[in-house]
Amino acid sequence: MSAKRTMTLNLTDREMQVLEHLAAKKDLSKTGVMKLALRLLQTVDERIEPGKKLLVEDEAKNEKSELIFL
Amino acid sequence: MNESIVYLHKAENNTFVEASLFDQVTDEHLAMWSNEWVPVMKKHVGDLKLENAPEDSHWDWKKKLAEVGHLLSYQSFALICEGDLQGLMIVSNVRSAKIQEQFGKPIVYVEFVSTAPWNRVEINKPVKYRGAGRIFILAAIESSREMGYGGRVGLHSLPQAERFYESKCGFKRLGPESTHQNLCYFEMTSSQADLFCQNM
Amino acid sequence: MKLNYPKEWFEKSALIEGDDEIGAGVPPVNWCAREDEASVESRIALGQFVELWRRDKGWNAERLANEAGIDTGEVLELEKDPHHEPEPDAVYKLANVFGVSSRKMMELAGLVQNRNPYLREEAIRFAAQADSISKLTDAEQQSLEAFVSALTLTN
Repeated sequence: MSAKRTMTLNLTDREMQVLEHLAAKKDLSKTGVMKLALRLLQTVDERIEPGKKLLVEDEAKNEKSELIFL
Repeated sequence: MNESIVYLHKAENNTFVEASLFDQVTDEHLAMWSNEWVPVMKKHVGDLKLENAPEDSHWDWKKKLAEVGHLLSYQSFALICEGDLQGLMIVSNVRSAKIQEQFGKPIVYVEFVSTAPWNRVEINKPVKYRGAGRIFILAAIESSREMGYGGRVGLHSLPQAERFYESKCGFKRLGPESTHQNLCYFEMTSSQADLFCQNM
Repeated sequence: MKLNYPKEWFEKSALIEGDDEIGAGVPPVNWCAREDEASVESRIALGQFVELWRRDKGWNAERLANEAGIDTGEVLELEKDPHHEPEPDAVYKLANVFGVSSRKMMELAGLVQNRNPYLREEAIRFAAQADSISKLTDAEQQSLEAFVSALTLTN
Protein backbone atom coordinates (compact mmCIF):
# COMPACT_ATOMS: atom_id res chain seq x y z
CA MET A 1 0.00 0.00 0.00
CA SER A 2 1.46 3.41 -0.96
CA ALA A 3 2.30 5.85 1.87
CA LYS A 4 -0.22 8.63 2.55
CA ARG A 5 0.50 12.25 3.38
CA THR A 6 -1.70 14.70 5.25
CA MET A 7 -2.62 18.23 4.23
CA THR A 8 -4.56 20.96 6.05
CA LEU A 9 -7.00 22.91 3.90
CA ASN A 10 -8.34 26.38 4.72
CA LEU A 11 -11.63 27.18 3.01
CA THR A 12 -13.88 30.24 3.04
CA ASP A 13 -17.42 29.84 4.38
CA ARG A 14 -18.72 29.81 0.82
CA GLU A 15 -16.23 27.20 -0.32
CA MET A 16 -17.07 25.03 2.67
CA GLN A 17 -20.79 25.36 1.90
CA VAL A 18 -20.15 24.20 -1.67
CA LEU A 19 -18.01 21.32 -0.42
CA GLU A 20 -20.66 20.21 2.07
CA HIS A 21 -23.40 20.51 -0.55
CA LEU A 22 -21.42 18.40 -3.02
CA ALA A 23 -20.57 15.83 -0.34
CA ALA A 24 -24.27 15.40 0.45
CA LYS A 25 -25.26 15.33 -3.21
CA LYS A 26 -22.59 12.82 -4.21
CA ASP A 27 -22.90 10.76 -1.03
CA LEU A 28 -19.19 11.21 -0.39
CA SER A 29 -17.13 12.44 2.52
CA LYS A 30 -15.65 15.92 2.12
CA THR A 31 -12.29 14.26 1.62
CA GLY A 32 -13.85 12.08 -1.06
CA VAL A 33 -15.13 15.15 -2.88
CA MET A 34 -11.71 16.83 -2.80
CA LYS A 35 -10.04 13.67 -4.14
CA LEU A 36 -12.66 13.40 -6.91
CA ALA A 37 -12.07 17.02 -7.84
CA LEU A 38 -8.32 16.41 -8.01
CA ARG A 39 -8.75 13.43 -10.35
CA LEU A 40 -11.14 15.34 -12.56
CA LEU A 41 -8.88 18.36 -12.81
CA GLN A 42 -5.86 16.27 -13.74
CA THR A 43 -7.82 14.43 -16.44
CA VAL A 44 -9.31 17.56 -17.98
CA ASP A 45 -6.06 19.51 -17.74
CA GLU A 46 -4.33 16.78 -19.71
CA ARG A 47 -6.89 16.95 -22.50
CA ILE A 48 -7.26 20.70 -22.89
CA GLU A 49 -4.46 21.86 -25.15
CA PRO A 50 -4.26 25.20 -26.98
CA GLY A 51 -6.90 25.31 -29.68
CA LYS A 52 -9.17 22.73 -28.03
CA LYS A 53 -12.41 23.25 -26.12
CA LEU A 54 -14.39 21.25 -23.61
CA LEU A 55 -17.98 21.04 -24.78
CA VAL A 56 -21.26 19.93 -23.27
CA GLU A 57 -23.45 18.24 -25.87
CA ASP A 58 -27.21 17.76 -25.85
CA GLU A 59 -27.59 15.11 -28.52
CA ALA A 60 -31.38 15.22 -28.42
CA LYS A 61 -31.40 18.91 -29.32
CA ASN A 62 -28.20 18.70 -31.37
CA GLU A 63 -26.81 21.55 -29.29
CA LYS A 64 -23.31 22.08 -28.03
CA SER A 65 -22.10 24.68 -25.59
CA GLU A 66 -18.65 25.40 -24.29
CA LEU A 67 -17.86 24.38 -20.72
CA ILE A 68 -15.77 27.18 -19.33
CA PHE A 69 -12.67 25.74 -17.77
CA LEU A 70 -9.27 26.94 -16.77
CA MET B 1 0.95 -2.23 -6.78
CA ASN B 2 -1.12 -4.82 -4.92
CA GLU B 3 -1.42 -8.53 -5.69
CA SER B 4 -4.57 -10.43 -4.69
CA ILE B 5 -4.87 -14.20 -4.69
CA VAL B 6 -7.89 -15.38 -6.66
CA TYR B 7 -8.90 -18.66 -8.32
CA LEU B 8 -9.91 -19.68 -11.84
CA HIS B 9 -11.61 -22.86 -12.99
CA LYS B 10 -9.31 -24.88 -15.24
CA ALA B 11 -11.59 -26.70 -17.67
CA GLU B 12 -9.06 -29.31 -18.80
CA ASN B 13 -8.99 -31.15 -15.47
CA ASN B 14 -11.99 -29.54 -13.74
CA THR B 15 -9.88 -28.03 -10.94
CA PHE B 16 -9.56 -24.59 -9.41
CA VAL B 17 -6.10 -23.06 -9.80
CA GLU B 18 -4.57 -20.14 -7.99
CA ALA B 19 -4.23 -16.88 -9.93
CA SER B 20 -3.00 -13.36 -9.18
CA LEU B 21 -4.92 -10.15 -9.74
CA PHE B 22 -2.65 -7.09 -9.94
CA ASP B 23 -4.15 -3.61 -9.50
CA GLN B 24 -1.75 -2.11 -12.01
CA VAL B 25 -0.90 -3.24 -15.54
CA THR B 26 2.86 -3.31 -16.05
CA ASP B 27 5.05 -3.35 -19.14
CA GLU B 28 5.55 -7.06 -18.50
CA HIS B 29 1.79 -7.63 -18.69
CA LEU B 30 1.61 -5.64 -21.91
CA ALA B 31 4.44 -7.72 -23.37
CA MET B 32 2.38 -10.82 -22.55
CA TRP B 33 -0.61 -9.25 -24.30
CA SER B 34 1.47 -8.49 -27.36
CA ASN B 35 3.22 -11.86 -27.51
CA GLU B 36 0.39 -14.15 -26.40
CA TRP B 37 -3.02 -12.61 -27.17
CA VAL B 38 -2.37 -10.67 -30.36
CA PRO B 39 -1.12 -13.59 -32.52
CA VAL B 40 -4.03 -15.79 -31.46
CA MET B 41 -6.54 -13.03 -32.12
CA LYS B 42 -4.97 -12.15 -35.49
CA LYS B 43 -5.17 -15.77 -36.60
CA HIS B 44 -8.81 -15.98 -35.53
CA VAL B 45 -9.82 -12.70 -37.16
CA GLY B 46 -7.84 -13.31 -40.35
CA ASP B 47 -10.45 -15.55 -41.91
CA LEU B 48 -13.47 -13.58 -40.75
CA LYS B 49 -15.47 -10.78 -42.33
CA LEU B 50 -15.04 -7.46 -40.55
CA GLU B 51 -18.57 -7.49 -39.14
CA ASN B 52 -18.03 -10.98 -37.65
CA ALA B 53 -14.74 -10.21 -35.92
CA PRO B 54 -14.87 -9.95 -32.10
CA GLU B 55 -15.65 -6.36 -31.09
CA ASP B 56 -12.41 -6.05 -29.15
CA SER B 57 -10.17 -7.80 -31.65
CA HIS B 58 -8.44 -4.54 -32.63
CA TRP B 59 -8.05 -3.11 -29.15
CA ASP B 60 -4.54 -1.87 -28.55
CA TRP B 61 -3.95 -2.23 -24.82
CA LYS B 62 -0.49 -0.68 -25.03
CA LYS B 63 -1.98 2.46 -26.54
CA LYS B 64 -4.80 2.55 -24.02
CA LEU B 65 -2.44 2.31 -21.07
CA ALA B 66 -0.09 4.89 -22.56
CA GLU B 67 -3.00 7.34 -22.70
CA VAL B 68 -4.39 6.87 -19.21
CA GLY B 69 -1.89 4.89 -17.13
CA HIS B 70 -0.49 8.00 -15.44
CA LEU B 71 -3.87 9.57 -14.55
CA LEU B 72 -5.37 9.34 -11.06
CA SER B 73 -8.81 8.94 -12.57
CA TYR B 74 -7.94 5.57 -14.11
CA GLN B 75 -6.90 2.26 -12.65
CA SER B 76 -5.79 -0.86 -14.49
CA PHE B 77 -5.88 -4.54 -13.58
CA ALA B 78 -4.12 -7.65 -14.90
CA LEU B 79 -4.98 -11.28 -14.16
CA ILE B 80 -2.18 -13.84 -14.31
CA CYS B 81 -2.60 -17.60 -13.98
CA GLU B 82 0.02 -20.31 -14.46
CA GLY B 83 2.41 -17.77 -15.95
CA ASP B 84 0.05 -16.42 -18.61
CA LEU B 85 -2.04 -13.25 -18.92
CA GLN B 86 -5.71 -14.18 -18.56
CA GLY B 87 -7.44 -10.80 -18.52
CA LEU B 88 -7.05 -7.01 -18.59
CA MET B 89 -9.26 -4.20 -17.33
CA ILE B 90 -9.16 -0.41 -17.17
CA VAL B 91 -11.65 1.47 -14.97
CA SER B 92 -12.22 5.16 -14.40
CA ASN B 93 -13.54 6.82 -11.26
CA VAL B 94 -14.87 10.21 -12.37
CA ARG B 95 -18.16 9.25 -14.04
CA SER B 96 -21.61 9.55 -12.50
CA ALA B 97 -24.48 7.12 -12.02
CA LYS B 98 -27.53 7.14 -14.29
CA ILE B 99 -29.96 4.92 -12.39
CA GLN B 100 -32.54 7.25 -10.85
CA GLU B 101 -32.05 6.17 -7.23
CA GLN B 102 -28.34 7.02 -7.40
CA PHE B 103 -28.36 9.59 -10.17
CA GLY B 104 -25.31 11.85 -10.21
CA LYS B 105 -23.37 9.91 -7.60
CA PRO B 106 -19.86 8.87 -8.61
CA ILE B 107 -19.29 5.35 -9.90
CA VAL B 108 -16.40 3.22 -11.00
CA TYR B 109 -16.86 2.81 -14.74
CA VAL B 110 -15.36 -0.14 -16.60
CA GLU B 111 -13.71 1.51 -19.59
CA PHE B 112 -12.42 -1.73 -21.10
CA VAL B 113 -12.30 -5.37 -20.03
CA SER B 114 -11.21 -8.43 -21.96
CA THR B 115 -10.32 -12.01 -21.28
CA ALA B 116 -7.57 -13.92 -23.10
CA PRO B 117 -8.57 -15.37 -26.49
CA TRP B 118 -8.16 -18.96 -25.26
CA ASN B 119 -10.78 -18.27 -22.57
CA ARG B 120 -13.43 -17.35 -25.13
CA VAL B 121 -15.73 -20.00 -26.50
CA GLU B 122 -16.07 -18.24 -29.89
CA ILE B 123 -12.29 -18.61 -30.37
CA ASN B 124 -11.33 -21.72 -28.39
CA LYS B 125 -13.68 -24.55 -27.52
CA PRO B 126 -13.51 -25.74 -24.79
CA VAL B 127 -12.19 -22.62 -23.06
CA LYS B 128 -9.04 -22.93 -20.97
CA TYR B 129 -10.06 -21.01 -17.81
CA ARG B 130 -13.40 -19.81 -16.50
CA GLY B 131 -14.20 -17.08 -14.00
CA ALA B 132 -12.12 -14.07 -15.09
CA GLY B 133 -15.15 -11.90 -15.81
CA ARG B 134 -16.65 -12.01 -12.34
CA ILE B 135 -13.21 -11.54 -10.78
CA PHE B 136 -12.88 -8.25 -12.66
CA ILE B 137 -16.37 -7.14 -11.63
CA LEU B 138 -15.46 -7.97 -8.03
CA ALA B 139 -12.34 -5.83 -8.41
CA ALA B 140 -14.40 -2.94 -9.83
CA ILE B 141 -16.85 -3.17 -6.91
CA GLU B 142 -14.08 -3.25 -4.31
CA SER B 143 -12.39 -0.26 -5.99
CA SER B 144 -15.71 1.54 -5.87
CA ARG B 145 -16.07 0.79 -2.15
CA GLU B 146 -12.49 1.90 -1.50
CA MET B 147 -13.24 5.26 -3.20
CA GLY B 148 -16.30 5.74 -1.02
CA TYR B 149 -18.67 5.07 -3.93
CA GLY B 150 -20.46 2.22 -2.15
CA GLY B 151 -19.76 -0.42 -4.77
CA ARG B 152 -21.52 1.42 -7.62
CA VAL B 153 -20.23 0.27 -11.01
CA GLY B 154 -21.22 1.04 -14.60
CA LEU B 155 -20.19 -0.23 -18.05
CA HIS B 156 -21.14 -0.47 -21.70
CA SER B 157 -21.34 -4.13 -22.61
CA LEU B 158 -20.22 -5.56 -25.92
CA PRO B 159 -23.28 -7.17 -27.56
CA GLN B 160 -22.31 -10.79 -26.92
CA ALA B 161 -21.71 -10.10 -23.19
CA GLU B 162 -25.05 -8.47 -22.33
CA ARG B 163 -26.51 -11.66 -20.94
CA PHE B 164 -23.49 -12.11 -18.67
CA TYR B 165 -23.81 -8.67 -17.09
CA GLU B 166 -27.57 -8.81 -16.63
CA SER B 167 -28.12 -12.43 -15.62
CA LYS B 168 -24.79 -13.55 -14.19
CA CYS B 169 -23.70 -10.35 -12.43
CA GLY B 170 -26.99 -8.67 -11.55
CA PHE B 171 -26.47 -5.35 -13.29
CA LYS B 172 -29.49 -3.27 -14.23
CA ARG B 173 -29.84 -2.81 -17.99
CA LEU B 174 -30.48 0.82 -18.97
CA GLY B 175 -30.44 0.34 -22.73
CA PRO B 176 -28.38 1.29 -25.78
CA GLU B 177 -26.76 4.74 -25.87
CA SER B 178 -26.09 6.54 -29.10
CA THR B 179 -23.20 8.39 -27.45
CA HIS B 180 -21.44 5.04 -27.07
CA GLN B 181 -21.99 3.52 -30.48
CA ASN B 182 -25.35 2.13 -29.37
CA LEU B 183 -23.75 -0.26 -26.90
CA CYS B 184 -26.02 -1.14 -24.00
CA TYR B 185 -25.30 0.59 -20.70
CA PHE B 186 -25.46 -1.42 -17.46
CA GLU B 187 -25.20 -0.14 -13.91
CA MET B 188 -25.06 -1.66 -10.45
CA THR B 189 -26.35 -0.11 -7.23
CA SER B 190 -24.71 -0.56 -3.83
CA SER B 191 -27.33 -3.18 -2.92
CA GLN B 192 -26.71 -5.08 -6.12
CA ALA B 193 -22.98 -4.91 -5.44
CA ASP B 194 -23.56 -6.38 -1.98
CA LEU B 195 -25.52 -9.27 -3.50
CA PHE B 196 -22.78 -9.85 -6.07
CA CYS B 197 -20.17 -10.02 -3.32
CA GLN B 198 -22.28 -12.62 -1.57
CA ASN B 199 -22.31 -14.60 -4.81
CA MET B 200 -26.06 -14.30 -5.04
CA MET C 1 -7.05 -2.30 -3.92
CA LYS C 2 -6.71 -5.78 -2.50
CA LEU C 3 -9.26 -8.58 -2.62
CA ASN C 4 -9.71 -10.78 0.38
CA TYR C 5 -12.21 -13.49 -0.50
CA PRO C 6 -12.01 -17.24 0.26
CA LYS C 7 -11.36 -19.82 -2.41
CA GLU C 8 -14.97 -21.01 -2.13
CA TRP C 9 -16.19 -17.65 -3.38
CA PHE C 10 -14.21 -17.99 -6.61
CA GLU C 11 -15.25 -21.61 -7.08
CA LYS C 12 -18.91 -20.69 -6.92
CA SER C 13 -18.34 -17.56 -9.01
CA ALA C 14 -16.60 -19.41 -11.86
CA LEU C 15 -19.45 -21.88 -12.07
CA ILE C 16 -21.93 -19.01 -12.26
CA GLU C 17 -19.91 -17.40 -15.06
CA GLY C 18 -19.54 -20.53 -17.19
CA ASP C 19 -18.44 -19.89 -20.77
CA ASP C 20 -20.09 -16.48 -21.10
CA GLU C 21 -18.42 -13.70 -23.09
CA ILE C 22 -17.48 -10.80 -20.81
CA GLY C 23 -16.16 -7.98 -22.97
CA ALA C 24 -17.10 -4.38 -22.20
CA GLY C 25 -15.94 -1.05 -23.56
CA VAL C 26 -16.54 1.27 -26.46
CA PRO C 27 -14.36 0.61 -29.50
CA PRO C 28 -12.07 3.51 -30.36
CA VAL C 29 -13.13 6.02 -33.02
CA ASN C 30 -10.78 4.57 -35.66
CA TRP C 31 -11.81 0.99 -34.93
CA CYS C 32 -12.78 0.32 -38.55
CA ALA C 33 -9.13 0.13 -39.53
CA ARG C 34 -9.85 -2.17 -42.46
CA GLU C 35 -11.50 -0.37 -45.31
CA ASP C 36 -14.21 -2.43 -46.86
CA GLU C 37 -16.86 -2.08 -49.49
CA ALA C 38 -19.39 -0.73 -46.97
CA SER C 39 -17.03 2.08 -45.89
CA VAL C 40 -16.36 3.13 -49.49
CA GLU C 41 -20.07 3.18 -50.34
CA SER C 42 -20.85 5.29 -47.26
CA ARG C 43 -18.05 7.72 -48.05
CA ILE C 44 -19.28 8.12 -51.63
CA ALA C 45 -22.63 9.15 -50.17
CA LEU C 46 -20.96 11.42 -47.63
CA GLY C 47 -18.90 13.14 -50.32
CA GLN C 48 -21.94 13.73 -52.49
CA PHE C 49 -23.90 14.99 -49.51
CA VAL C 50 -21.20 17.52 -48.64
CA GLU C 51 -21.01 18.69 -52.26
CA LEU C 52 -24.77 18.98 -52.77
CA TRP C 53 -25.30 20.71 -49.44
CA ARG C 54 -22.80 23.45 -50.23
CA ARG C 55 -23.99 23.81 -53.84
CA ASP C 56 -27.51 24.22 -52.53
CA LYS C 57 -26.17 27.14 -50.51
CA GLY C 58 -24.30 28.50 -53.51
CA TRP C 59 -20.94 27.96 -51.73
CA ASN C 60 -17.70 26.75 -53.22
CA ALA C 61 -15.46 24.34 -51.29
CA GLU C 62 -13.35 27.15 -49.89
CA ARG C 63 -16.37 28.94 -48.43
CA LEU C 64 -17.60 25.75 -46.75
CA ALA C 65 -14.11 25.10 -45.36
CA ASN C 66 -13.96 28.63 -43.93
CA GLU C 67 -17.42 28.33 -42.38
CA ALA C 68 -16.46 25.03 -40.74
CA GLY C 69 -12.97 26.15 -39.75
CA ILE C 70 -11.20 23.36 -41.63
CA ASP C 71 -8.81 23.04 -44.59
CA THR C 72 -10.21 23.45 -48.08
CA GLY C 73 -8.19 20.38 -49.03
CA GLU C 74 -10.10 18.31 -46.48
CA VAL C 75 -13.42 19.35 -48.06
CA LEU C 76 -12.20 18.49 -51.56
CA GLU C 77 -10.81 15.11 -50.47
CA LEU C 78 -14.06 14.29 -48.68
CA GLU C 79 -16.09 15.11 -51.77
CA LYS C 80 -13.90 13.39 -54.33
CA ASP C 81 -11.99 10.52 -52.73
CA PRO C 82 -13.98 7.74 -50.99
CA HIS C 83 -10.71 6.05 -50.00
CA HIS C 84 -9.61 9.10 -48.03
CA GLU C 85 -10.12 8.71 -44.26
CA PRO C 86 -11.24 12.15 -43.08
CA GLU C 87 -10.09 13.76 -39.86
CA PRO C 88 -12.69 13.18 -37.08
CA ASP C 89 -12.43 16.85 -36.14
CA ALA C 90 -13.29 17.94 -39.71
CA VAL C 91 -16.35 15.65 -39.86
CA TYR C 92 -17.49 16.92 -36.47
CA LYS C 93 -17.17 20.57 -37.57
CA LEU C 94 -18.99 19.94 -40.85
CA ALA C 95 -21.85 18.26 -38.97
CA ASN C 96 -22.16 21.43 -36.88
CA VAL C 97 -22.38 23.59 -40.00
CA PHE C 98 -24.94 21.26 -41.59
CA GLY C 99 -26.93 20.99 -38.35
CA VAL C 100 -26.97 17.18 -38.46
CA SER C 101 -25.91 14.42 -36.04
CA SER C 102 -22.13 14.35 -35.71
CA ARG C 103 -22.21 10.71 -34.75
CA LYS C 104 -24.08 9.71 -37.89
CA MET C 105 -21.66 11.71 -40.02
CA MET C 106 -18.83 9.84 -38.27
CA GLU C 107 -20.52 6.54 -39.16
CA LEU C 108 -20.79 7.55 -42.81
CA ALA C 109 -17.14 8.59 -42.77
CA GLY C 110 -16.21 5.14 -41.47
CA LEU C 111 -14.70 6.62 -38.32
CA VAL C 112 -16.99 4.80 -35.91
CA GLN C 113 -18.60 1.43 -36.26
CA ASN C 114 -21.82 1.46 -38.25
CA ARG C 115 -24.66 0.56 -35.91
CA ASN C 116 -27.47 2.02 -37.96
CA PRO C 117 -28.25 -0.33 -40.84
CA TYR C 118 -31.01 2.01 -42.07
CA LEU C 119 -28.45 4.83 -42.36
CA ARG C 120 -26.39 2.83 -44.81
CA GLU C 121 -29.49 2.14 -46.90
CA GLU C 122 -30.37 5.83 -46.89
CA ALA C 123 -26.80 6.67 -47.91
CA ILE C 124 -26.86 4.24 -50.85
CA ARG C 125 -30.25 5.52 -52.00
CA PHE C 126 -29.05 9.11 -51.77
CA ALA C 127 -25.80 8.43 -53.65
CA ALA C 128 -27.67 6.68 -56.44
CA GLN C 129 -29.95 9.66 -56.98
CA ALA C 130 -27.40 12.44 -56.68
CA ASP C 131 -25.49 13.70 -59.70
CA SER C 132 -22.72 16.24 -60.06
CA ILE C 133 -24.01 19.12 -62.14
CA SER C 134 -23.56 22.71 -61.13
CA LYS C 135 -27.17 23.48 -60.21
CA LEU C 136 -29.36 21.16 -58.13
CA THR C 137 -32.30 19.67 -59.95
CA ASP C 138 -35.65 19.38 -58.17
CA ALA C 139 -34.98 15.67 -57.76
CA GLU C 140 -31.54 16.37 -56.25
CA GLN C 141 -33.11 18.95 -53.96
CA GLN C 142 -35.69 16.45 -52.68
CA SER C 143 -33.05 13.80 -52.31
CA LEU C 144 -30.83 16.16 -50.33
CA GLU C 145 -33.66 17.16 -48.01
CA ALA C 146 -34.58 13.53 -47.34
CA PHE C 147 -30.97 12.67 -46.50
CA VAL C 148 -30.59 15.65 -44.18
CA SER C 149 -33.69 14.43 -42.42
CA ALA C 150 -32.20 10.95 -42.05
CA LEU C 151 -29.00 12.40 -40.58
CA THR C 152 -30.93 14.59 -38.16
CA LEU C 153 -33.46 12.09 -36.78
CA THR C 154 -32.55 10.89 -33.29
CA ASN C 155 -32.34 7.15 -33.67
